[in-house]
Amino acid sequence: MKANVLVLGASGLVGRRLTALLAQSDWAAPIAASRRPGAGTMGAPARQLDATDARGMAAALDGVTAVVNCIAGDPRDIAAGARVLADSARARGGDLHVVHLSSLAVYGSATGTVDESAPLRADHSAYGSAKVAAERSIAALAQSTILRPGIIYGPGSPWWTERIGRLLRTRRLGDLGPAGMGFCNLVHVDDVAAATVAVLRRGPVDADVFNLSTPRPVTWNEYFSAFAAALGAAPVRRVSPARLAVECRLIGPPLRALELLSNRFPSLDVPVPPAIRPWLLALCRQDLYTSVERIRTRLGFKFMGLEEGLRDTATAMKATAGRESCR
Amino acid sequence: MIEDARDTTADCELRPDICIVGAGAAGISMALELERTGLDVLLLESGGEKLEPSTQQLYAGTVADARLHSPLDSYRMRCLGGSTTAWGGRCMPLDPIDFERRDYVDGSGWPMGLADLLPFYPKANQICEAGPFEYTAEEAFHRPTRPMIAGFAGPHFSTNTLERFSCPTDFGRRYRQRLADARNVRVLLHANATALHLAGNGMAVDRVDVTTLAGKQFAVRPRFVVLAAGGLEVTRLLLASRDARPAGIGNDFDQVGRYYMCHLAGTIGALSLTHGQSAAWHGYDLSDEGVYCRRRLALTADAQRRHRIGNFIARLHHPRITDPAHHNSILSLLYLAKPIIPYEYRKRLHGDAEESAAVWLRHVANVARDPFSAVGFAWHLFRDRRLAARKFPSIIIRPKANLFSIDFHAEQFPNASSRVTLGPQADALRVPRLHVDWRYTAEDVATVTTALSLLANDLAASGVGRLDYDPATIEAEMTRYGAYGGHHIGTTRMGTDRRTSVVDPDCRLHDVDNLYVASSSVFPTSSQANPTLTVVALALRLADHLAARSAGVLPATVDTGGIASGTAT
Repeated sequence: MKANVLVLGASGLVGRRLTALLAQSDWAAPIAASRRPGAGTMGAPARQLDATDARGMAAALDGVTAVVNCIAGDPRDIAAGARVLADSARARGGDLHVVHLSSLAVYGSATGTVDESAPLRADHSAYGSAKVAAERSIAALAQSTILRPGIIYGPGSPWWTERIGRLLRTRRLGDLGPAGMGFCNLVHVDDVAAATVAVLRRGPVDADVFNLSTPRPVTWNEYFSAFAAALGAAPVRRVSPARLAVECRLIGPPLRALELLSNRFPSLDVPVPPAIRPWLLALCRQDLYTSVERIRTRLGFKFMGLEEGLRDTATAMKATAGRESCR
Repeated sequence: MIEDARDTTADCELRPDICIVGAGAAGISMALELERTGLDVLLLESGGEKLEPSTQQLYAGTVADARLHSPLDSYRMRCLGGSTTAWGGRCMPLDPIDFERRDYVDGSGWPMGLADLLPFYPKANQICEAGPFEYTAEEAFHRPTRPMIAGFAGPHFSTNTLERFSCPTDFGRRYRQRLADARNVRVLLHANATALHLAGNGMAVDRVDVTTLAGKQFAVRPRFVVLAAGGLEVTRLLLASRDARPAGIGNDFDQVGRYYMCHLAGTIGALSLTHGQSAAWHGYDLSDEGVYCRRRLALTADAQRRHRIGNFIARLHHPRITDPAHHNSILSLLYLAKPIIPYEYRKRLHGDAEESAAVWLRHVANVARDPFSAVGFAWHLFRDRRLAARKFPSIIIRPKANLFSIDFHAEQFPNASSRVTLGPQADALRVPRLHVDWRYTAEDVATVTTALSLLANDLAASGVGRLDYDPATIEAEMTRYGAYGGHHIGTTRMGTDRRTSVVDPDCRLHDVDNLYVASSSVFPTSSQANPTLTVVALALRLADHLAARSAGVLPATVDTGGIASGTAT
């Protein structure tokens, strides 16, 4: 008999991939839980669930062997959802394995090479603080595993692939010089899904935590030029600090306003060029590399090569663009 | 952190682990590399963050023949970033043959090989912001690129090696923040090292004297000293430190300051291509990282050995700018703009022809005849050079007529009588000024002569073109602008024999346990390559060596009675 695995946030980037992967497996029967009714379920039975609703959560956990928390988005939902999940899991008892997708944001403003034993720092952003709070809730459960992916790229990744791709194609991003010498800790969405499957297969061991990132440090400049090459948008342009300042202070705010407006009135269907936001530039400078030695040694996990991952991403993007232009 | 020596307390004594003299390409690269070791690093810089005339004036010296060597306060910048604040950014590694002992080159043979530098070149390339360490067209480009000359096939020259260009990166501006943030690196501006003092036994530096222009003095007593102030200044400091050794430090065998090499460079000839000028591509290709790369005609190692000549490369070039007979409005515009072009780049805009009003008018006429090309070119320069963060490296002009010239850059052989010495005058800090007597030999002329004739043969044999030049003018052309500016090589050469060299393979002075040199002055031979990338690679290698030595991984090589192992507190 297949094991029932509840996927929370199943309509998100990682949730969709994971649900599809589990649905194809011969051992798991995923249940795709999402707040949005009628979200795509990748061939799995759907369940509408607001993760902050304790009663709904308790009911959803009934009869499942494992639950994977892929909820992203609003910081308040992240923290509250994790708290409700932890409480419900504790109340349910038994052999429930809780796998929680955290983020490298829990390392806050740390620099240098950090492994999973580094202290959590809620000192950087509301998102990071919410992720820290969420981890603390989950880590209190004995039968839990926490995954800390870095920047998740790959087909369908709205920020790190689609927007960055557009910024590279229009040459608004490229070689940022000193401003792009931080490490970007990329991880392909398929690797995040595969690592989740690997920890589900292994089962809970002492509230284990794993970073997910590139096996070697890759700077943002390297990422941008490799991605641009895969997209056929190479060579990249060297972007001066003055230009970045203009992007951030003068061009960014109105674009962001337009974007919010366009989100508010989707029927207008106005394409808004992506804004380069100050937090993105801060991230591009952060000299933080999350080591992945632990998952490689403990689980023998192999990451996809960056070149392969970007090639696959670019091919998928071209196919989507092709379909869109045919419509 | 970055501090100013003018604001520190006078008469203090600093005791860092490593004192680096000079914050240029070598000094800054080393400091950044040593940051991760946690060693206490003091980086002394004579200048400030901007060039100041009173500091720059400390460079002034005399030259034996003003036609053969530029003034000593040109091509060198005495400020944070050193001469990278003015460099052109051309990067390339040395070739394997450059390290070999060649029986036809006196004094050739490095006590190390290319393999010893290969671990450091990729990082050096990164520091110079010249992209990945890929120096052939096949490695750097995964797409087909245009051939340099369609149909050209050696056998004496290859066209697939590249030169890559830095932004060009001003190390001072680029790495200022990292230096400021580094906890264990202290940069001291306006701090002039004026002399080194050896300990009683003469086998280690005990003290470095430091002075500001206003006369504030203090001493540095480091465990290790690295001289990274540029080839000429390193030499000057060794020669001027005479209290324990009358001939200067490391100079017991009269080797310091000898073998002074630059490069032999010039523009010559008229190349017409059989299939028209469109058969040639002499411009830049952009790598995926946006780095400007350019192919060169490189004389093969086999040809060098067979003809017993030095290393040599050539590029296709536009006709000589000064002669208005080229009828090119862009070149004439450059000629007319020379008053606003910096000295280091302006030199080639001066010919030996008289600069008469008639010549000037003919250039004006050239511009007037084709103003649109001139305006388009001015716009290109403004957009791709002035405004761009990564600058278009040089003037590339497709000649209207099917005529290129050949721009060459060749190795100069080591020559003991080409040398720098201390002159009779002293600077404001009472350090003797340098006197430069740069010389070339008939062998150097032979390198260029033979290489050009092999190139002409190769072009003709491939059926792609015809190179006409007057062999009698070669010597005049290769010295037209004197020793190629800015490359100061050979004056503290590396070797294993203290009688014929100054530093050992670790770049340490043979008989001074804690004194090192990070500069092109350690190159025993000059190669065809511009030296900066190799200077940075050697500096990184030295940083590695010092980190290992400080950690006790490497033993002291000279018995110093404990000085190198640290009397510092």
